[in-house]
Amino acid sequence: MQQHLLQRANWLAGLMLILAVFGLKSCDHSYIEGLDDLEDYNYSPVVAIPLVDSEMSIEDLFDLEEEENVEIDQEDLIKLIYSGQIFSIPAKDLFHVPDQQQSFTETVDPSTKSSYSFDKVFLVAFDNDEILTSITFMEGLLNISTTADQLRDDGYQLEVNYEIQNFYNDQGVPITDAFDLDNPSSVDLSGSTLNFDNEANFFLIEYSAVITGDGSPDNAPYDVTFNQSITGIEYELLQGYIDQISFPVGNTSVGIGIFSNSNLGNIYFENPYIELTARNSFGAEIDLNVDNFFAKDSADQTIPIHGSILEDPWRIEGPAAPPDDLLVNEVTLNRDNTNIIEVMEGAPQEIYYEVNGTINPEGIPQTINFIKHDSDLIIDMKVNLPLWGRVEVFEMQDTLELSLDDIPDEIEWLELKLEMTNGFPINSEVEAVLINKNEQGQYEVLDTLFKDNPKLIEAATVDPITDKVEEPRVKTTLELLSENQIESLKQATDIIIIGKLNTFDHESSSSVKILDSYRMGVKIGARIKGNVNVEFE
Amino acid sequence: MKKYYPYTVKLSDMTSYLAGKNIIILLVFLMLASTRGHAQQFRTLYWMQGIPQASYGNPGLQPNPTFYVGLPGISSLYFGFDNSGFALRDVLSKNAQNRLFIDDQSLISALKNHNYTGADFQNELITLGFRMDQNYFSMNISERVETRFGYPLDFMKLMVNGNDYFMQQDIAAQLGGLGLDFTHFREIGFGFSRNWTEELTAGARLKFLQGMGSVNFEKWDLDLYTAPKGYDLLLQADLLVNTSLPIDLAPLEGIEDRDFELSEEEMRNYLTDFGNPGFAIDLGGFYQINEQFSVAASLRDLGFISWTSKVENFALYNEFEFSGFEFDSYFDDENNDDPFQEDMDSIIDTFDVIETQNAYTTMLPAKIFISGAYNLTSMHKFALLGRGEFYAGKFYPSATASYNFQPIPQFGTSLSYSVIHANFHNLGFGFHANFGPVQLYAVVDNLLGSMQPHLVQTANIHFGINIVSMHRRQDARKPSLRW
Repeated sequence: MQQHLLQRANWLAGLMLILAVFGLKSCDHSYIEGLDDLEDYNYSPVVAIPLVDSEMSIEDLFDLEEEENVEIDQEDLIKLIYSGQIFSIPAKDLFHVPDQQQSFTETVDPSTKSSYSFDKVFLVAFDNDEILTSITFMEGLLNISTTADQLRDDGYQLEVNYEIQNFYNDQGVPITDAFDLDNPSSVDLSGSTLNFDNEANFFLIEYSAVITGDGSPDNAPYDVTFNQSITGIEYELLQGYIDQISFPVGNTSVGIGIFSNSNLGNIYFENPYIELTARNSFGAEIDLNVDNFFAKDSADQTIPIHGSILEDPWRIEGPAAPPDDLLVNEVTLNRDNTNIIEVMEGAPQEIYYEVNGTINPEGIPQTINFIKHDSDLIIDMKVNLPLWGRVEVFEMQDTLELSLDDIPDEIEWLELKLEMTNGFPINSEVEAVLINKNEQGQYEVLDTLFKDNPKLIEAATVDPITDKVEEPRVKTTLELLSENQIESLKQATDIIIIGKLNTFDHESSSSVKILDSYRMGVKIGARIKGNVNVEFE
Repeated sequence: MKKYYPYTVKLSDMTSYLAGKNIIILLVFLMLASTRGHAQQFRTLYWMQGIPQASYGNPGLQPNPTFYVGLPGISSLYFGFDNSGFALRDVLSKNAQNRLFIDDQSLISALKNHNYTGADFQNELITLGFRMDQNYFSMNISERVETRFGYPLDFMKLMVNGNDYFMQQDIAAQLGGLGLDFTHFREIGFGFSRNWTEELTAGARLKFLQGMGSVNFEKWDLDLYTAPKGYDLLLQADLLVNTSLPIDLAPLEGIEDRDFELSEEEMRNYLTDFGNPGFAIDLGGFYQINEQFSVAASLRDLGFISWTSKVENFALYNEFEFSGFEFDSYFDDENNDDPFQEDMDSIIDTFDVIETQNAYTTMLPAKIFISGAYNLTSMHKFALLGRGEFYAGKFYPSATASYNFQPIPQFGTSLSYSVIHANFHNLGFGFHANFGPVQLYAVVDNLLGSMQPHLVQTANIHFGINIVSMHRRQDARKPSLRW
């Protein structure tokens, strides 16, 4: 009985214990039931991503290669070069040998004499006081004919041979030929050379004539007329004194691209210079006059270029004698002999120059010149701007197309971090103007980035002795773009980048050198806060 | 001025986002239905010797029935869910109006450095056991499916806060351990236990394993560092994924266009593939100190599967640093190319996955149990159980206190309380009831799953029907445990 009671007590104890434990915990399904009324979830992670990691040289920054010829000197200094070139008219147009024509008459009497010999002068006439020593023909025809109508009517024939001693054909053989009353002589002079050797521009033709036939000399003596000419003359080479000839070389203008994008500014170059190079293939001294030499700024204001070196004509030498056919003459216009410093301070957008020349400026007849048919004069002008100087408030701007309409909507804010490691001795303030172009082509300014914090780039420090960079400088800038600004970014069709540049310590008129080895490290990263509202419907 | 409101995702309209309640359902599923699922938990069941399957937790503990046989397919069904990281109440908080909202920071604060979630399933095809003198013999053929998704704390922080969180602290997001493990294998076990002395009982279970399917993230070392200076991204990856599946994943290029439907023959081949052998052993013992006190210890699933059939390996070892695009990429369109795409292609090329077909071995996650019990009377037993599981080089402990009440051999019940993954809301319950030779049983480690689902991180149910015989020979020695 007692054991039975004990067993029942055990049963009860076990069941009570189990029920008691379960009773400690009541049901709570509120979390499951509450799912029907779950609040929206705002998912807002902040993501940091790198956008740009670039190291840029001067060419990358200013896109120099497209517009200018850039040279690096031995010092590694960058030099911008803007070039222009003019060509003179070719020699064949500048110095022309006109057609030559001469006639003479001889009297013959076949009843007394049937053979005749005589020398006749052929004078080559020019417009001025040229005294030639030779002409080498590229083209030309020597024509000689004769007329003697009465002699023919009385039953005679006339046969004539001739030889020109100083006139050699392309085989180096003196020119000879024959003609009669019916068949004139015509000699192709291509490749022939005529030597004058007489300082009078003439040569002798040795004629020998024979009269044949059984005619009746009733009307003797007879007049026989000779016509001799040289036509279609194109010379290959012409030597001798060609007299003074004045001629226009040409004119052109050279664009100075570095100033083309500048709105305003003051750029001071320490050592700008202009190189004039004359390549003369006339075998003669030439005096060049650089006329109308001026610079023109963006407002079309002209700044004359003048200086001691420009007061007198620039005399250039020509090649001494064939086969030399070119002589290069150079002259440099720099801060010592011109006002080029002043000119460049005016930020010219182009330099205009016009050149005239005078061959044989001294006019000495004993001078031996030569001209080839393609002789000419080429004048190159190179405006050299070594990037050594200073910049004060130089404003540049560029417009870039934007297409960022695919920026996701789920962005609450975006923070740009710009870290510029500047190896250039240039400070820069940058503003980025977001604009929208409507269908009528009108621009609307949407927003401006970096407006409150424009000084993105600090100049590297410069050694005052060498004017070269001592060490780069790092500038970090944070730019927080609000939701509105992000919206402007998406709507913008274009972005105008406005850069205001000045060089290190320009306030003290310190100059800096821009070397090719300088680099600017550009790192741009972005922290983006997302804002995605997840609705539970 | 136009006001721009935060972007709103209408879940009903968007398929690209997780859909409304489905997020919650998914989370619940991840917590409850997903599990690291490495076999049965054996917390409440450990001391329920009236149920033959209790011996799977400790082969040294002999079941009370002198003979049992399982009904094929229904003798032991186990579904287990486990989430080491968080419970529903860690994800959802209530505001002043008592409305629920997703509290992602609460979720993060609840997570440990390494977390997993998974599910497992076990079904006995055949099981039987019998006592012979001091010995107990048993055998079983079981189908086991185990899945696990590992997610490190940093991964969730990265998802919720973004990489800026790590950058501000100048630390790397350590994503190692992110990955999926899946194993499907068949276990053929032979158990033996013996009463070696009056006090000591010990035994073992040898298990021959037939691997059928596997996805194994053998290495998943992934660090993402965001440099505060310029937000440069440095990704270090050392990944090795092994698979043994009825489908060929390689080549990965163009995988999205392939059809992976299995034919009946392929499915048959999959289920009868004996090319992936394995072996495991369970060891256990029980010691009766005196009439009131006893202790037990066991080691389960100490073994491996060697995968050699239909094996594919995908390896990636690289270090990738992305510091931004060249400036020209934003403006240079001379060639009418997309410079961004070119850069992205080069980035993708950096991650060149090496595809091989090398055999590999996976270890079963071993479990260790140490327990002590106090018999108040023959009906009342109180026990403490320490359980630890080794997985991926890490040890996951839990503790259980149980009260076992068995008034008669034909009926027993157990009430347990467990601390699992620092979750103190695990109240377990189990019972068995014999109706003649037919035994019904059911055991759960967390009954609160239905009562207070927001607190649940672990849930499982183990139930089945056995045919048992409690008949004992008169001259047999006393069973190792009676109450």
